[in-house]
Amino acid sequence: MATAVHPDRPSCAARTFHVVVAGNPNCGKTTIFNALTGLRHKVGNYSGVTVEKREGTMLADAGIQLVDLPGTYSLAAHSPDEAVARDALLGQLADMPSPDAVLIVVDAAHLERNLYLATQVLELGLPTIVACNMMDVLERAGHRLDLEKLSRALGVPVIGTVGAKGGGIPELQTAIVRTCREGGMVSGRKWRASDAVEGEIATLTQAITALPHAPACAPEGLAALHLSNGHAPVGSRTPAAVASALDAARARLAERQIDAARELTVARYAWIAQVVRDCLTRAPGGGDSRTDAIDRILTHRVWGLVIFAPMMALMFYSIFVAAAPLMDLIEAIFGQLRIWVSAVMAPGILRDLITDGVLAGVGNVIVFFPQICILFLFIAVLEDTGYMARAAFLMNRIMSRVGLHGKSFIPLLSSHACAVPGIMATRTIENPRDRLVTILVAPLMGCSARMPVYTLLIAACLPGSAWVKAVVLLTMYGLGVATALVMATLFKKTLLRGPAPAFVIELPPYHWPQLRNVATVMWERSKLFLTQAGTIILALTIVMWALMRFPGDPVSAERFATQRAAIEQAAGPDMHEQLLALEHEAASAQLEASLVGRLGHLIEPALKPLGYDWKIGVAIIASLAAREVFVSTMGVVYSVGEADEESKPLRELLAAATWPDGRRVFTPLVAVGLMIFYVLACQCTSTLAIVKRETASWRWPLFMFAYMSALAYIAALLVYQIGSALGLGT
Amino acid sequence: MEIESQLVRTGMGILGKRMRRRWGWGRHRTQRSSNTVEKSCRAEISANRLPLPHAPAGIDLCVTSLDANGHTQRLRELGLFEGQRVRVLSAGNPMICQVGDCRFGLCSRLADCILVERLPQVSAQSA
Repeated sequence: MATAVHPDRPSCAARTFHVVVAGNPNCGKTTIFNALTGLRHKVGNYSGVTVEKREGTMLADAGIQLVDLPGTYSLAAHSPDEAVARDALLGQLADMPSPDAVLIVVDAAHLERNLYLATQVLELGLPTIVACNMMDVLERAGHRLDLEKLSRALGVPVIGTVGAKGGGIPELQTAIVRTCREGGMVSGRKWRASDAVEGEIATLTQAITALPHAPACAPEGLAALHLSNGHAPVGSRTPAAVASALDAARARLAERQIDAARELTVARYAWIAQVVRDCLTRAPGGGDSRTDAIDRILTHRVWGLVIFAPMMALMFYSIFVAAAPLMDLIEAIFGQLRIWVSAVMAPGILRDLITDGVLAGVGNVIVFFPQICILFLFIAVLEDTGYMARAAFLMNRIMSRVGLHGKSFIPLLSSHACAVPGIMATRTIENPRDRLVTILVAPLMGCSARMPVYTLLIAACLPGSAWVKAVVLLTMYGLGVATALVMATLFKKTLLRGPAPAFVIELPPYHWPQLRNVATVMWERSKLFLTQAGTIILALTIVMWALMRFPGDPVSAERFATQRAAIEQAAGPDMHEQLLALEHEAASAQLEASLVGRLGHLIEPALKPLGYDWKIGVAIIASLAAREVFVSTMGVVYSVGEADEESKPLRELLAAATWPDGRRVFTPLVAVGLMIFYVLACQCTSTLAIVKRETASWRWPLFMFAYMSALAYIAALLVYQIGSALGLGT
Repeated sequence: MEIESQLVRTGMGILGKRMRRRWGWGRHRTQRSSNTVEKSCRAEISANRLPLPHAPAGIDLCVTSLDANGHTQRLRELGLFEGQRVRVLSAGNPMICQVGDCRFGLCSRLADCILVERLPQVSAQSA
């Protein structure tokens, strides 16, 4: 028994102790962390939801700092989040000190698999406490777990908890405080492999011990960990001396045809099986019959999809319909705010900056907030119940056809509300290539910002009944999905060539969603959207405002000023209408004279083959910031002032707009081409900004912009040219 | 639904053929002593390895070997190590299997790399 009191502990009471919380995905680790720190954090059921580093001070003792590590199945990390957890435990993270103690959370209902990671961590030789969570699930099934026996077997304190109900948390707090303040129990390796492998572990242990800077963790545990990893050493900062010793050891074992990784894993699991046999008294029968019964339907090839489809439909219905009144309210509030500011402030650049730049920008962000909240609420419920893993499972059949992982489905689905949260949700995809492909095609999904563009164009330019219009709208969404799937296949075959991803996912037992968990997750992620995407969107709106405001045209501004004075002097009965019309005309002239307006004229030759005039060009450039800006820009260009997609005058003006030679601009063909352009083009700077953040380089957002714009241009060109040649829609 | 049951049927078919072959062989041996027959049958079952997707659903199986290139060690760590008891809960691609206390969704590309053998029902209960 290697149990002992940790030797090198400073007695200084004022220092801060760092305790890391480690555990498998779905073991309730984050719930325990929340209960200990009092901070509300997200917790879910979908494997690997805890991605970011979460820190908190322990409620019971302000001198103890807890860090919630990403969930991991093993210290041999396979994904970036798992690597973070591993490096934190090995003390190899740059921005985190080596932990003073470790809290391992294990799921009592899945003890064997959870103890695999637990033993790996125990062997690192750090003071450790084990929280045996979900004891209620175990007891409900009729099993009995002898925690004292388990504690003796592991060599560290084991405390039974029920994280969801706060059971065992006071005892756990006491144990953590005692471990930090008075010294904790340190365990070691309790099992043995064959002599040949043990010999190599001893050699490697010597190599680690001989290092000038000894690692914070136990050399023998580290040596066993290195050998049990397939090829590379474990950890991102393994010294060269150890790496070469490891290679030599592997070569010697390979010569004798010994698979060390296999032997060590099997030996570890064999020891765990022995411990579990000793401590756990299983009720006869066993098995989770409830989850079995639900799974028989929900993962069924046919019934699973029959249930899945209306659930997704409900989600969409809520996103688009239930959020609408709130969105209208927000728009109204911001409209009033702008009117109020324009009334209070003196006319000038500063007022325009606040009303058209800042307020419009903030409004653009917040108006999507209800939709984002509903989307995240659904995702949180799906994760908390355990259905999310089933959704990935069901969708893997379809996604694997285009070379994507089942886990790509939810990000792509979320992108139908907004690509930004969709791209943020790709973090759970382990393989970086698959993740990148998902990110690259996510903006092709018909996000809600495209809706105003479609609504305006369909209402203004397409003849026919409501049915025809509905079909056109649906076709646009279908086109987005189809293009995304085709592009994903293409990327997987060319640029990001790779085999179809290996799909293995844990299907956790079902349970009722916990209101508090769900609310916390929803709120945290929505807040993330506001702070991370919102600030970018706001900044870009201000930049676009400046581009549409400057340099301006002093000559025509003067002309408008004299006209305004003339109207005011005449003071006719319709003075207000005249003034308003003049103001809209002035705004239109100013836009034409701005950088964006000049660019619109500049690119008109390139847009002519698509059937667009410079006004559409201006709207396309302005809507680079966000697609829905197309509508308001059209409002300014056509001198109707403030306009949304429901605006009657704008619809009438669009329908009546002509080329200099008298042809109509917005023929049905042009409208359809323009809608297709908006399906395919990456007219969204926030998407580009979030892609830059997630891929940590400008390469991919630029590539995304280039390929989507090219796709959009070519598609719109083909539609217009082929359509015109066939004499359609004139 | 039909495809699924057909898959199960083909799986059963393959196993059935193997069993027939085995039983034919067993009958040949019956002539010596019934006790040895049972023993040799059991030995034959353990030699009778098949990839996980071909295993019938709802039967206790034991992993005999796995080789999934870069994914081998990952699968082992998740609990699909040599000697582990598994049970196919629903066939197809991906399939669902019970691995110890946990259940996993597994694509057939990985499942094909896992060889299993049938556990004799008697010893499965005593374990």
